[in-house]
Amino acid sequence: MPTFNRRDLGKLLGGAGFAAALPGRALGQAPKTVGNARAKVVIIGGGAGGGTLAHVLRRGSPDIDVTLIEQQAQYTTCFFSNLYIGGFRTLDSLTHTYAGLAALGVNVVNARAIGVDTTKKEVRVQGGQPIAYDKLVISPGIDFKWAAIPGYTEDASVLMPHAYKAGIQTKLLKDQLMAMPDGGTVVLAPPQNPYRCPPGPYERACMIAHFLKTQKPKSKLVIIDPKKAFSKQALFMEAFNDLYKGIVEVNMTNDIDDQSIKSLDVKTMQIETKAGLKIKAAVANIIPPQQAGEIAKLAGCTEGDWCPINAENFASTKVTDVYVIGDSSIAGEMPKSAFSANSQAKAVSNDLEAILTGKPKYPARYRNTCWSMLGPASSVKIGANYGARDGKVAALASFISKTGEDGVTREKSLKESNGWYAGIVAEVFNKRVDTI
Amino acid sequence: MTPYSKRNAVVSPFALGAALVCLAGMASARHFSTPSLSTLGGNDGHLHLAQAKQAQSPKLIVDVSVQGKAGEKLKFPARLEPVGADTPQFVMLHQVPAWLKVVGGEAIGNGVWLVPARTLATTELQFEASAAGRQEVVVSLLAANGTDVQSESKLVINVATPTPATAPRTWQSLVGAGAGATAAPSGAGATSPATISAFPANTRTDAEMVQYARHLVRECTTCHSLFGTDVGVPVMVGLTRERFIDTMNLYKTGRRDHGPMKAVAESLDESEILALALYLGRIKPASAVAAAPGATGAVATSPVALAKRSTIEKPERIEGWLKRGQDFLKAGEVGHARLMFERAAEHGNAMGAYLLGTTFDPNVLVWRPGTGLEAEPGRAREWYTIAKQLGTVPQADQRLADLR
Repeated sequence: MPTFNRRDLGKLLGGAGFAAALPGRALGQAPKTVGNARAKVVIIGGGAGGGTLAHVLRRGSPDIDVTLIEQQAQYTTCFFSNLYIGGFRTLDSLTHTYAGLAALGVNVVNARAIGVDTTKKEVRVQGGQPIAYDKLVISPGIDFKWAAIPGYTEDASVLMPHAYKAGIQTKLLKDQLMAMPDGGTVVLAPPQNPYRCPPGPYERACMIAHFLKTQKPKSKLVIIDPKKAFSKQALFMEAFNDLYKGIVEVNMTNDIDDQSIKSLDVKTMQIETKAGLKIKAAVANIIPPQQAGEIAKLAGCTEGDWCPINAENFASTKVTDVYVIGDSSIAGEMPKSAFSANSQAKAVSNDLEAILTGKPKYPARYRNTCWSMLGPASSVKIGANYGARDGKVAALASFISKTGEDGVTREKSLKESNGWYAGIVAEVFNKRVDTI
Repeated sequence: MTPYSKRNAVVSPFALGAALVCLAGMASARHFSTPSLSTLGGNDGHLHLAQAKQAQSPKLIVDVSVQGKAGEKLKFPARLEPVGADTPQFVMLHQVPAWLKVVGGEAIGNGVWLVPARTLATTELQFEASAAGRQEVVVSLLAANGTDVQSESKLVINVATPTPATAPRTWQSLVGAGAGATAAPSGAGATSPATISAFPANTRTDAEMVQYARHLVRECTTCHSLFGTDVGVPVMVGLTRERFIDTMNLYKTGRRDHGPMKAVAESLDESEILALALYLGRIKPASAVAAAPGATGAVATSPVALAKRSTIEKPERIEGWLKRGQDFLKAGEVGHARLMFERAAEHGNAMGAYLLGTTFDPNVLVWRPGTGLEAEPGRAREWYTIAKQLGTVPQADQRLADLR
């Protein structure tokens, strides 16, 4: 990603914490947790997974030292960032600091993790001393596979934003939408599975369509999708038809036509699909295929693009004393979502507390719910309970909004999604949110 | 020095035979096929032991077990029959744990106590503060000669795990830890503390359940605020135990239609819901208005939504809420009454909506001075209107007219 990240290395809040752990490790020995030594848990990534884990672990077992390594001093949540594009949220209301976690006693290290020595059990950070761990939890979210779409590089993403890591990219897309001429075509290209937030691109379609409907009514949105189906498809198609008729055009891949991108040109803004669909875009929102965050790969946790885990506790099956949670993990039937990461963090917290402090270990229970905003007073949801079954994370009971629901129900779902945002932000950043 | 020794209390085959004779008429013989006295639990909860040869002598009747708490003093659960027998006899106790004192008896050795049979009725067991666990005590009736064991039985002493005395402290401390920095459990000591003795099965200790509730509640807080503020997801703290459990059951059975909460409720068993009810009930919302009894947030529920709710709830249950609401009103508990009426209204009961309206109606409230509540004509009107939409309540029209 471009220079959005503020790598403020002067704010190494955890400096004293890990400096104290350095003596004795020159011999390559990890600190032991026996006796009076405090167990050290290091978390890489301060998003929905890492932030939640730092929070609940700190609250649950104050005897454990918790260090959170996060490269950004401020974090803009990818969840709900579509609402900013639709004009229902400010970017400020989605941006949070780590002051709340620091106040809880979490060592927040604002630096980029650049490597993990799983033998010495320490994390290397850019511009700082290595940080030793007894247990390491990696929650880095996603990285993009830049080579996958011909012509779509990291540089190209400045002109054709993905807006799939929130922050400057989200603002870029919104700015381009605001600046485009009325009557232009917006292209939205969702990625191939698996990717972060399955309904995300389609919620985005609704939000862009709402923006066009209210601000640029002569414009339209063309979706070119490499997939044959997508999450909550019936619900989104209903919304496209009821709320955005004549604005949204959906081109799904089918047995005959492959609507994945064959080529794109950031200078001419020409995009062509393999099926031969050619579009000149005023704004192009290209969401590339994804893989586990780079640090997970560097730590040796990946198998292919993602990280296999033990379904009971999200421990890496590749590296001992390392856990992988959130978008980077292969979480079976659980989707890659903030809610999932938050839920997985709690199972990991229980596991760590059991191992490090002798508290009881309970069977893992996971949950997820994804709300998607369709329009000004309308939202739908999908979700499930999950548990470990035959070594995999499996859905146990699921639910989804029905098509044809009345306005009261849809509005209630929307209100509820706002409440969820306040709830999860309170957990991830230890930040109280009383108003929307 | 004393002539009694532990050796005297050894059960002889003879004594065992006597026991069988005595018990044969009371219970089926198959209970007594093993030659061990500890299996001789009579169906009436007592052991009757006597020596057949001395049928005229008093018999010692000892309860199978007794349960006490640390610090408690209980009557010694044994008696002699017939009472008033003049032969001087002693009851001897063996294997008495260090945390148990026999008040009225005399310690004559390590874990051995002697009690005069005549004062058996006033003898007490004092559980010391350190009392814990379970101990089998051997109770023997000694013959007149002071040495022969006439009969012998076993008394199991159980120490109950601490319940109300210590539970409130536990709950308060856990609430402090779980509620976050600003949601102080202000009213924690004010109301009668929820005890956790009511867990259905004693398969888990109280402390374990507390710990488990703490773990479970993490699942809720992804959406629900522990601060007691509702910004779109209902407040789940500070509710009465009953209301919390009721609500969860409404979700579980689908009578309250909500996908995510149905999934949540279905994944929790009764004891888990109870644990959560107790844990969350102890957290007092920082903003008292949000969850205080009588804060009928349901007014925000549109009449359309209310009318859509079918009355799947059993009618007698709804009638029960109405009756309880009226009882609360009589007792001056307007806040609780409103909760009851609101619940009925939520299930589409017109009378519930009407009665809820009356609690805000200045024309009704003047009849009950001193409730400390202010009339809210607007709300009264709203609920009367809802009542009319839900069904036929003739009084509602008159009340509405009176309000104009």
